[in-house]
Amino acid sequence: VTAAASPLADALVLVFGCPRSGTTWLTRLLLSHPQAAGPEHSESRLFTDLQPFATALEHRMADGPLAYVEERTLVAALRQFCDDLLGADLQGRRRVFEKTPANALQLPFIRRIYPDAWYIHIVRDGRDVTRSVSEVEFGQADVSEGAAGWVEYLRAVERDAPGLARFREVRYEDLLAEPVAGVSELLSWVGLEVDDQVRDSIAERAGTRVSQFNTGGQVGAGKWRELTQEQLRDIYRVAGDLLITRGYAERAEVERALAGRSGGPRRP
Amino acid sequence: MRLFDPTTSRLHRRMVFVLAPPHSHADRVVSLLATAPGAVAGPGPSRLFEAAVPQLVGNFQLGERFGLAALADEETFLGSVRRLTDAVLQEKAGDRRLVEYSPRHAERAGFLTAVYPDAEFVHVVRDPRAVAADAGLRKSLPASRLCAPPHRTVLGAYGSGRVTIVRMEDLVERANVNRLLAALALEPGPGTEAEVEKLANHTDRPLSRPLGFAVDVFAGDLLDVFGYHRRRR
Repeated sequence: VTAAASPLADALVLVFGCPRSGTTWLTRLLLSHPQAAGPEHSESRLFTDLQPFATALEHRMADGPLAYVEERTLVAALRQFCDDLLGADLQGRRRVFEKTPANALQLPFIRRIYPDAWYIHIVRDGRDVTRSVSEVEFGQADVSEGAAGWVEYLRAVERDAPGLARFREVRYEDLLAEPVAGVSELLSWVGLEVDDQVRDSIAERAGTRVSQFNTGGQVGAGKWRELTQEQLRDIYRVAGDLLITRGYAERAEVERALAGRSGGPRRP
Repeated sequence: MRLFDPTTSRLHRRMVFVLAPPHSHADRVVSLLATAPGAVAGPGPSRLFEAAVPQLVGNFQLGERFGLAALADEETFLGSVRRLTDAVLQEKAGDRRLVEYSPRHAERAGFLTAVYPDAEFVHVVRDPRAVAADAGLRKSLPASRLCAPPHRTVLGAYGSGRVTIVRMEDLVERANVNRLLAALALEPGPGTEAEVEKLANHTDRPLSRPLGFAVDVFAGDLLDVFGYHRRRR
């Protein structure tokens, strides 16, 4: 199956980003649209599980599937396989939304299968991400590791996104401030008309808490201020430069925290 | 729901999967079967059911609210996997039956027979003591356990597929080879005799006493099932 002949031609919208960046929340808002299909709460991990095929293609391994078919045939077979699963519940709707955070780390592979997909990367303040990651069962309690994960995700997207024909990046904080406008804009970008009914639906859904895995507290931005100075220093050591580049932190603020001087955030 | 219907596959009743743990000389069985005019050997292990597919299966089994099961039902999932693996295998098959062997497919026999209920499966057994000796492992315990789990997995899948069991040691006789080919609805070809001779000329490596004892202990039930004599009782 080629992209043009695929039943999901121009129909797949992938939402991804570092875990705990609001991918579930954003996907749920996007699914407000009546022409949008896809699971609201779960990630398919489809492309993650296809990693052995990605490795075979990347390294052009003569062993395994590529001993049987050429690369383009394998890519077409993978497209058909993904179409079968992702499009199973389409029911006449025009777009399928799929959310798997780790897709951020596999963009070159996914692009080979879905060059016509719409790619939406959601970015959240690395300090909030790190704090949130340290709370969940599957996350890293060590904030340095959590911050390193945030850097890894963002760097991977920075590296690979230029190869994507349809790529948008949104900030979690901007969407949180104006969810209806932000999500409506994204829906329009992927080719879906937005009317008052859709806007009302987005507004209704935006008010619902979707933070998963039993983390406590209010959903929102800026909760990193609850971190200790030591934790912040550890985060800045790993992710300071990227936080500055991304406009989340001032250089002076980072340098002050790294120097251990007062004036930075305090222990709650 | 999209019904899983193997009869629509281009490889319907044309796949022959050889299942055997490593060091079972299964590649020789592949060569032997490929001498039949109606069969062709794959160019090597496809490894389709070794890594990616088991991960997909594990994902699908997370439950209907999670992972792949949130996207599609079991019929659709099975059909999708079949279409994917068919797309990879069918070119080399041409209009013949394709004989495929990947060393770790035996461990996935249950799912393999679910995706290919119309295929033939040849379960190759070689004396576990010869396998252990060939594996070249110094420690007798892991060597003796090397081949047991995959065999047990294949035995567990017997009910769901068309499985023909064959002992390597029996294939030195032409009559047994003919019986195997007939079971697969294949006929001997011009090269069959030469392959049988190769098998007959093979000599197993000598087995140390401790290793033989370990195999008796840890794979003794398989020795009985497959008709090998135990050295110690």
